Amino acid sequence: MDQHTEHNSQESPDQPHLLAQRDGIKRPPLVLNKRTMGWISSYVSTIVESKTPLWWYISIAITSPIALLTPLLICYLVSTGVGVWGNNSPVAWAWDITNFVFWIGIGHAGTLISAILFLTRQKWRTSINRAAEAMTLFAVVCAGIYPLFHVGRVWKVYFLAPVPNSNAIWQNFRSPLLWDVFAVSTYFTVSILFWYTGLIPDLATIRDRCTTKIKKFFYGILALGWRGGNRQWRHYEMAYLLLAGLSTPLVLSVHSVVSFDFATSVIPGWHATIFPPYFVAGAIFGGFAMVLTIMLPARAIYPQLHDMITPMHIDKMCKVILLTGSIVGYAYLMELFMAWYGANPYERAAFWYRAFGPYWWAYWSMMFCNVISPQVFWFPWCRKNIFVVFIICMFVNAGMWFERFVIIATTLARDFLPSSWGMFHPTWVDIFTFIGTFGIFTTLFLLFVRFLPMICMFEVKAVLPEANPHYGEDH
Amino acid sequence: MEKITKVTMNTSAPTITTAGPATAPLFGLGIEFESARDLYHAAEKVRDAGYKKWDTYSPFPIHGMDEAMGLQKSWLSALVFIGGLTGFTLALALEFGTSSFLYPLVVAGKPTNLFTIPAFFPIMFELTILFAALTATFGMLALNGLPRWNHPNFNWDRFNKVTEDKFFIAIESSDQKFSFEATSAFLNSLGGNHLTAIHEDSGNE
Amino acid sequence: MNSHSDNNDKRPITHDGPASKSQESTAHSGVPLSNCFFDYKHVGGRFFGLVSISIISLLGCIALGMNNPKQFAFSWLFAFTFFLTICIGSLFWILVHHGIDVEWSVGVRRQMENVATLFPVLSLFFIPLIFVAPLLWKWMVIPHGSSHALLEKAAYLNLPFFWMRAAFYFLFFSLASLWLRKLSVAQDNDGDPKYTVMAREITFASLPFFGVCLTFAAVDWLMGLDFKWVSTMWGVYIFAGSALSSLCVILLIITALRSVGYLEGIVSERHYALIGQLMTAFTVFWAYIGFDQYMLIWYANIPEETTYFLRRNTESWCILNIILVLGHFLVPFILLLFRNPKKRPAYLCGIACWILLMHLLDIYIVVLPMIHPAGFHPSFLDLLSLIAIGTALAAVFLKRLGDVPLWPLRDPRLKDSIHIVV
Repeated sequence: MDQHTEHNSQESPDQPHLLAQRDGIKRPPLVLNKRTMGWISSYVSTIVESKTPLWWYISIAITSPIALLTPLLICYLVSTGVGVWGNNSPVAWAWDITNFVFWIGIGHAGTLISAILFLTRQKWRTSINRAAEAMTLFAVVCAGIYPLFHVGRVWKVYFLAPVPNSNAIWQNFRSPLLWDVFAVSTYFTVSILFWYTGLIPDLATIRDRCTTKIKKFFYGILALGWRGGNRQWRHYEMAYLLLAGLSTPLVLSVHSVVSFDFATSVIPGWHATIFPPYFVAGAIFGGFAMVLTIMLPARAIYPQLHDMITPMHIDKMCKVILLTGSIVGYAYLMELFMAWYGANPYERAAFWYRAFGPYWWAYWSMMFCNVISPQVFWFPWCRKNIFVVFIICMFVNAGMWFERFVIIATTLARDFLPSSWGMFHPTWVDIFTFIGTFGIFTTLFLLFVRFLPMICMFEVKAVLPEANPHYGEDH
Repeated sequence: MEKITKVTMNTSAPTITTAGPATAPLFGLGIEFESARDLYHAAEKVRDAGYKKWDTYSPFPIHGMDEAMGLQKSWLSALVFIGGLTGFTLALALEFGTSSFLYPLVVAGKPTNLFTIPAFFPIMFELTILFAALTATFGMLALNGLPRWNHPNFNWDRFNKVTEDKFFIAIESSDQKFSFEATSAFLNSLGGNHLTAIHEDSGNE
Repeated sequence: MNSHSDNNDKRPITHDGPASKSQESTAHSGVPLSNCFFDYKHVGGRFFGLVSISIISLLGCIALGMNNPKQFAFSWLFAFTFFLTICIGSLFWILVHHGIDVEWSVGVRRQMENVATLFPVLSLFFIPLIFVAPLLWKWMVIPHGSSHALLEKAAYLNLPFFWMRAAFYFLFFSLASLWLRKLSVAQDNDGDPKYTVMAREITFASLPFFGVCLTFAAVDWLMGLDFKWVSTMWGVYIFAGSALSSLCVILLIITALRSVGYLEGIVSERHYALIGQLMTAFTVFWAYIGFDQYMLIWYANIPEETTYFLRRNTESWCILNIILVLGHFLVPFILLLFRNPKKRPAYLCGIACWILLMHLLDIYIVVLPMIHPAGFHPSFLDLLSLIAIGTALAAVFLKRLGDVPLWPLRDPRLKDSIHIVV
């Protein structure tokens, strides 16, 4: 990892090592422009310390009223009844579950970046993991709203907790919906632990830089008295490694459990054994797209982030999107093939309706956005062009919503009996509740950007060449 | 807060700054380094000198520092294993206890005996992870003695930079080998700067 | 990062090592170049032993197979699939290496290439299956029109298409692995990074084909044993076993080479620790995929789908299936959880052998219950087929082992691989 170049300075230009420096062999530095540790701390902390910029006030003035829509409409829903949503028979799971799966899927990239990329020693994760983890939490908050209120009588929601009800009957632990309760709440808890554990040393940085007493007090409390002693780092690193090791199977399990909600049923189009890995790949896919969707504007607003979130980072994330998009494409095609190959008329019909039934537009939007559009990332110039990347990410965000809509609404709309066929039409409550969750998500993210370090400073410092205790020494 | 005192010694007398109330008991001696490399080599020397109650402080974890300091591996993983096992057992008891013993429930033709375990597996897994993760975080804090908002090191103004880009070593006065003169001379020989005598808070005796 | 600067000696590599076997090449680069060729003395007479065992067991297979062609067909498919998955897995790891530009696997990549390029030989062992195909894949002999399900899927399940597909799979697997190995070997001579870039491009082009070939080979040859049964997860399930078992094979090969004094300074305990981590990850992945497939089919309980597991969960097959769950997942998982012993080659090799044994059982349970619905019924042919194919492949592997250096001598990332930090 040392970049000293003393002993090859006198070699002639036709030497292989110079050829090796062309694209693809030479690894670009993780932090550009040879930034120092002090620069990283002061730049990232300045975002938190400086006077609140105007754009921030404007943005939050827009997003917070939108965020308010969701709680208001939830009040309307609870006081009136679930009938204010467009859920009907046969489409009893409609936008609420679609949006739940959509948000929980987005919530997967953060933990993936933090945990899996940590375990596989992908050092480029350090610049983006903090924001991605925060995004995870906010997405899970948005996701949690839907199943909570989908239960109908939300004041009876404690029935889901393992306490016996009045008939001394316990929960049905074989129900995928109860698995969901355990999976999502575990995921939320562990994500907070992981995120907060990662924040402690950086909160200490801000504590030590603060000038005002109030800030010093609050950041000091949050930093828990972190001193950066190696006797602390020793346990800290072990805890981080263990949390990463625990989160990796957890992140796979959560979306697998969500997929079980569908796949354990006998409904054609839902019951497919490939659902768990396919949902996980889709979640990573959609999550990475959302990470880029919010990191690209942040990078545009704070130009010096370019040194930490480099074109190489964007390039790598695009490649992950391409890979996971292709896995999702594989799953779509495998479902189609097996539906045909299985020769079950109901299964075949379900997929026929998806592609050519009344919801054909949703199906082909999904296909285009999720499978076709990311294929442009095969071309390096597309991964380098920020606008192309941003547009594709927006396609992916939309495509992943369509995917859940296709799985849920179009499957239910065509029941076994043609007499029970029906269509789903969202009501205004559906639409504005969903828009409101975007408000919640962006508001929380704006608050995060304003009050907490957006980049994991201590980890970025640790990947600098001079962080190596043998920096400058020959092997 | 900082006073410069000259300590008279036989050879080159190191300049020692005092941090914290000078009347309060001495916590230890600290010295600052410019880079991870310097800290690493200094740590090796402190280890070889036989000190036990000391620590290196850095803005980020330094690879290989545990060996340089002569520290054992963290045993947090053992705690986490126990935590995970607790979660697993709890889920096992919760699921089989309620669905097989307290109120045997036949749903979707699934048995109530051991062979229903595939349907119980997701919750077992989740609770294992939940308890293990809680143990990892809170176990780490407990082993590190955190939260602890007050510490003599914080009396040292320059120590603020430990979370930014400076590196420190502090040897505590409670170490058996500690003697003010010898230790300060030893620290001074390590090549750092800003040798400081860190005192505890006056009220903290 | 400057490992490439060390590759500037363009001396041709011969069997005596680089032109001068001197210290200077070692001293200059920090990467030893001597002792990079496998010396045949380590094999010696054992080679002929392997060949003769292979021929004898092949003859045994033919003799026994004459009496019981059906048993022969299934035993042979079982043995063939076992080695197929290992070769497929090796190719997968090469693709991963080039695809995401991995550092640590440079030193062991040549052995992956040596295993993956056994595909052309493996395709020869597919030939016997051509003769017994109707005994294996029943849809081939069902009279036209007598099965409605078959009629529905005739566009896929028909003889010409089936054999064309098989040919295509072997063609792709062989070409991709041979080509990647050729580039890798070419780089040994001059260390030109263009080979690395080319290998990467071939990898990207191969990945979609790899997915398709692996999936449909699994569908055609294994899922097709019961043409009415479908599982969308099937390809992924076979893939999970392949990736894990090939990792174990690679581990055993490099350990064997190290035990006779090769790969010194190239593969260290840190590499073992990394392979150990991957083994842990793929043990969990296999369990995850296997559990999902089983649980979803068990839970939904749809009659036409449960046939697969019904057969394998009844009679004495049930015992084997439980052994599989415990042995393929629980035992290696617990053993691999301990971090410190995972750095010890002997410990990891023990686990690798165990996993390979379990992978064998996995494939056995996939194939053999189709002819023995009444329960576990071991046949001498199972063992003979396994020995026949295994020893033949081992002989070819050993014969080719000395042809090229044992590791990519001048890979631009070799130095990074040697100094990898765990």
